Amino acid sequence: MTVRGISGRGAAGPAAPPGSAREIKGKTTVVEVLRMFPGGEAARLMSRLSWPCAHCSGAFHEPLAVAAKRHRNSPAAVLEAFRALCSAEGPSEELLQRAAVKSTDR
Amino acid sequence: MGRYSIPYESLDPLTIGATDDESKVYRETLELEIPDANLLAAIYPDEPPPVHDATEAARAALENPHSGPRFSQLLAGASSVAVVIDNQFRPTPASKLLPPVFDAIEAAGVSDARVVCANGKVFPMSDSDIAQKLGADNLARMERLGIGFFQNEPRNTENYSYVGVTSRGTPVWLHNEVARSEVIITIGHAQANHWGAGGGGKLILPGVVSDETVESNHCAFVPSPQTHYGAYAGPMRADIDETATMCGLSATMNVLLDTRGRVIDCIYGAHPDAHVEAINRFNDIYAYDNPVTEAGPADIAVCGVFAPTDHLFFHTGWGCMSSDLVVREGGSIIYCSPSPGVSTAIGDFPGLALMDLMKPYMPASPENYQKVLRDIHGRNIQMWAGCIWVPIYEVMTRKHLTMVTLEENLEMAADIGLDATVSLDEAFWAAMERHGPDAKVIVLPFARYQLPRNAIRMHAADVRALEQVRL
Repeated sequence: MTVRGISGRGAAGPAAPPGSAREIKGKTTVVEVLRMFPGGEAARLMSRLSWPCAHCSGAFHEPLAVAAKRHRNSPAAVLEAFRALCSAEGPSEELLQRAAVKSTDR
Repeated sequence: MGRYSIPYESLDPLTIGATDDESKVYRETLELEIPDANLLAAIYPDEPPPVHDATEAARAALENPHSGPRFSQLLAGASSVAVVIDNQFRPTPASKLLPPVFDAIEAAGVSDARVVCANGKVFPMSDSDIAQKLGADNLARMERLGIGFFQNEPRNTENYSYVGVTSRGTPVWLHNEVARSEVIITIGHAQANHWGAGGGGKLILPGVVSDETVESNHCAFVPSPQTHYGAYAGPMRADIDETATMCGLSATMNVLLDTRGRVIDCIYGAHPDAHVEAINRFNDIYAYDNPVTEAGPADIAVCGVFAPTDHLFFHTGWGCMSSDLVVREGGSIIYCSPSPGVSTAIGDFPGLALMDLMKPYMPASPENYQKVLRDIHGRNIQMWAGCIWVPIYEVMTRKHLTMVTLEENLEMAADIGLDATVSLDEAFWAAMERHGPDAKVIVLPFARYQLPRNAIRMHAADVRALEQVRL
């Protein structure tokens, strides 16, 4: 007997990755970007940004741009840093520092 | 010279369902020789034997409540029921405890039933986690009976119903599937912890409430000096239990697990009485007479971790806060935790995952702790995670923490700024060097469970300055 029919089961499960795993956009969710990098590169970048997102229930729904705003990082710099994970050299230290800056505005 | 065994264990990959499968348990002990003259105390609990059959223990508990009606009476005439269970990071053997609960629901003819996972703000269980946590037979039965399964999604505001504001100011939104149920029962693991206690009403808050409710409670009460190991009457646990009352929690089923992960007791009854009783029984086993009262505080605590905890230091490290209660200011805590990390549906996480959140505030100091407090106030720290790393950090502002861990964690520890080594001997003798030849040493092999008896605050009238514990 399959268990798939149970109401609510799997509703919050990991979403499928976007069509192209390298197309990281502001609307790409935290889980999607984590799944693009099974070696843990995205999780380490989140760690560098002081984001607990990789362990948070919000990861399944929260787009990167919203996560950046929630954690007071620049969405543009954050996106640039995640996109740089696709390059052989990865994000530069300068980019990482820029992405990690927290806005003091609320 | 005495020789002491320090448990150095974890469960892999997840704690759930592992209590009967030794192959999933990473069990090892570290040995340490301590000069007799330096030993203040080595505290090994006297644990009762496990129950013969956890399912039958649960069945018996449901019909022999500590207080309030039997579960069958509670269900009689009820139109709906929510069964709230804990998640993949708690060792409660839900698969063994659910059958008699479902038996009672089926016997009462309650067709509007659901199981809700109290995952708070932690990512939900995967299908594999669910299969391990609930068990294949229970899942098949749920499908047959039309019992739905839901998990907490605290940022999805549409999933929550407003309940009200607690006397301490926490606004409460409750998961709709729980809010719409006439009978609500939680099934959890009762133990003392640095929020006061785990289990019972804690499956409601943070388990099945909204983001705002979790953060309001945690931001306000985690930093309080009155929130500590054993502080059932402290502000955090008291707010949690008041929230559970407001949410209509009918009853709780609480298991005690021994240091091998086996069920040693099962207590069912009305909220909050049954959980209070469970914590009292837990404390009878794992609380110890505080040697500090007669001999003064220890200079060094040596702590171990054991099977009902798990793979991340984030979960094993809670004993930093219990050992803090018996170590003098400026003293050392040596924490032996292999923390092998975990593989999940969304990737592999290292053993020090989430501890990296303290990195912007390192080195741990009273001055930097003020930055932490400001960022909690500014909601810049997510306290669903800060409720663990912040208390550990606060201890580190006053005491030297050394992790003894697997070699694979050393690089990340160094990056965060944590003192870590693979050698207990090295850590111990470095601490002896810091504190001198007369240093007093306490061994707490199961620190995450153990607490000094005089830290227990079960009633509001008991809440008083922690200095009376620490001396």
